[in-house]
Amino acid sequence: MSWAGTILRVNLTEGKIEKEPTSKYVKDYIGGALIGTRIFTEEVPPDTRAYDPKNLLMFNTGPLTGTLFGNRALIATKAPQGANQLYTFVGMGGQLASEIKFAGYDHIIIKGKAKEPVYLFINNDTVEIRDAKHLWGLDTWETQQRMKTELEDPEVQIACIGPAGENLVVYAMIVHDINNTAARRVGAVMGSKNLKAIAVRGTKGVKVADPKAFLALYDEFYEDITKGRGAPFTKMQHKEGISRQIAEAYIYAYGAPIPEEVPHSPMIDFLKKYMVGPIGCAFCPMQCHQNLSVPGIGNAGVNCVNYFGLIYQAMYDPTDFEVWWERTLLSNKYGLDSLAMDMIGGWLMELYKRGIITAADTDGIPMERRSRKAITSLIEKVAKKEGFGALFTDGIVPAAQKIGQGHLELADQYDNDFPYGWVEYAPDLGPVAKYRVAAVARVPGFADGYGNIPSYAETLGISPREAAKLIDEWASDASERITGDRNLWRTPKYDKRISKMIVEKEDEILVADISGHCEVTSAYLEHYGMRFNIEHYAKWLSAATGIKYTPDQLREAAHKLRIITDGYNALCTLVIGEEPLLAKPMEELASFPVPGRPKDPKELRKVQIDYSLTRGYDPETGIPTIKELEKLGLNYLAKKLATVASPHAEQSPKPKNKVRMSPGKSN
Amino acid sequence: MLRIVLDPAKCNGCRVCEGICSLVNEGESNPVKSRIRVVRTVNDVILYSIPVFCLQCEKAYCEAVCPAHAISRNSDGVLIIDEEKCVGCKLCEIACPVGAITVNPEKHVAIKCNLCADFGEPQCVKYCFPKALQLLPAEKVGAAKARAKTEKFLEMERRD
Repeated sequence: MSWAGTILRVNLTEGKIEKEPTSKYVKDYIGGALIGTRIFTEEVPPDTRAYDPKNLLMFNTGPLTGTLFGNRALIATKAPQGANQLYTFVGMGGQLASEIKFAGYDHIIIKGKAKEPVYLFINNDTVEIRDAKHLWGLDTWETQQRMKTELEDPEVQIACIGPAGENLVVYAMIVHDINNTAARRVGAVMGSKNLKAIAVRGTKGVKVADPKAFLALYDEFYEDITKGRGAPFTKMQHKEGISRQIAEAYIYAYGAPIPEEVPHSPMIDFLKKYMVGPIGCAFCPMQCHQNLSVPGIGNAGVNCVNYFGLIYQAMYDPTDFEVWWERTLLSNKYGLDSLAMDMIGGWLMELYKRGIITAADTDGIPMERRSRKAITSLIEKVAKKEGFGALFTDGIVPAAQKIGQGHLELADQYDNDFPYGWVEYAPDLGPVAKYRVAAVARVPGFADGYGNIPSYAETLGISPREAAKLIDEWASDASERITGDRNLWRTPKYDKRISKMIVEKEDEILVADISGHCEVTSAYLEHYGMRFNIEHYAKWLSAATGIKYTPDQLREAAHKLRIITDGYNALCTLVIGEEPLLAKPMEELASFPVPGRPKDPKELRKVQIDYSLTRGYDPETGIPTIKELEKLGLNYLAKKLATVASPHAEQSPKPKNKVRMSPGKSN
Repeated sequence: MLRIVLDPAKCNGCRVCEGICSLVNEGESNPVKSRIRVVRTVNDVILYSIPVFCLQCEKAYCEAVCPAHAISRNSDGVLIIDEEKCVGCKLCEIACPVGAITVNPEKHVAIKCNLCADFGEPQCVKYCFPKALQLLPAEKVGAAKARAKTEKFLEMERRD
């Protein structure tokens, strides 16, 4: 019932628009990222390069999208930067996903390449490919303003690319409104299709099967996140987001001494001074982004992820938030992933410090750490593909062959990308980690909850130690719910149930991606106080769709999404056959300490094996087994994988980039 | 008599009111069928959002202009539309000074806020987390506004 009912297919090469019913996929694949991934992996040959017109760009929504329980679009495509052009889907909130549903579509699938710049205009049943030559070159905010004026409809919702996406910078993102981005890996694919924007307006609404039951479930949800266990988290969002816990992650790492009083925070000073108000997605009381106005620099919207750069080799002083703000604002405006800019800037500044490059290598601009001029010109030049910025169009790995004498080992990068999401958890997964890009590699731990200590202490008026106790309680609740053991989440020894916890936490995110709900208000963040888990999703989806879903059915769907994605990416890796370039050993990259994972590598390996066996992967290769794929009815994928991978075949990867990999051998 | 009062400074544009209103009144999630609408405007990359809803005017243009006599007051002084009588002419939509009446695009009858007459209390107020919407006795509306303004003023004083 709560599906819009139609999949929209747009072929930009032929200028053709087709519609097909969603219903044929619903029974086996429910919706959202799972239907999208099923279609993608069947239709796109694994050796397809990201910019090949055969690559698809999808905007997927789920059955909860557009209702009070959902506002997420999952944007899926093959990503351009990685060695093996892996498939990825990234979540984006805001108003767009709901509007796509209101217009009558569950999925928008874009194929081919337009001859000249175009945008896609969707107004309920009317779908048109329109000329966008006059918009090409405009930044992301100007583009949206111009389009709203031209379309004479301020209510139209737009997702667009900026100059970075047009110039096929691999770190380009898709921007919607002032604060929502599909930040990693998708913007350049949109650019490669000559697609400047999609503009959507819909008035059809999303019907729910049992409005009464649905409202009662929403009531339970709303009460909890505004007055119950989740309330401190929601209240914190409206003051500061989860920025502090990311920006100051090291101070509150798990196991670090907890201060008596909340220490002074330059970041909170900055936010207090310049935050205009919280902003966020349609129909969500959380509003977890912030709208800031900084005199002399400008206004923009920002979310927590923008602070991640502070953990890595940041190019700015981590207490100088004005420079951080300028970098954030410029990145959003040009449609560039700010974290990738931190990665590049941090690297160039390290090279400069060591005398490996001079100002002459960077158009006369000295790459001095914390230099405002260095940071702003880097972002502008990368986005506009000018001067030394053009070296980075295809990413930091190819750039290292042209600048910095190949000293890639000084960069915090993984497979030509910012290592977001990887570093923390990837070692838990073993060989399968190779087949995942960051956006779908997320395996939550619990340690990051400790970053909320100062925020919760202030929000609740308690001491940091009391706040830590609260966070401990919540993490223990999650641990008990999943494994029956309150202490397992911080046991540093091997336990058979650790992999069970990883799988369930993964499934929680994946069920969110399938349903269109956002994991921020789900038990994925149970250690932040959130309580809504797969049991709740089953009730929400049943009331919305009129189909009775059990928690185990949803777990199976999540498992399918996981295994199709990993299986397809293993296929891409085998067919393309490159080795992803990790410059530094994973452990050397910044990371949160993760409690509840064995420290001993042999014991950790046992966790990885358990994980592989639970998921139905070969523990040696990390590739899904044919048997498991067939068991799930995924014969199309099993067949493709069987022809390429035999379980005992030695894969010999061929690294072809000439870059220095080991710090010991440099110079 | 109770009235919904808005403190626009508190609205964060979450649109939960639109989602709830259309769900309880129409059984679906659909902003264009919501009796309350959040107008979101971006100006210089700052979001401004203001919910628009029926203020239950004492001298109601909508009631006066309706050729089908479909709009009348109930015992609480709330303006109610009789969907049977409504002809969908949109005169009320044009006459409303704040834009709080619209015509349902499927049923082709006017829809407006009736303070959730069937649900005990206005659901938008119930689910307004930032408390931008409040339900107050009609005679206290002005006093509450004045107090809110004064507090804002005092806050500015304190900051200086």
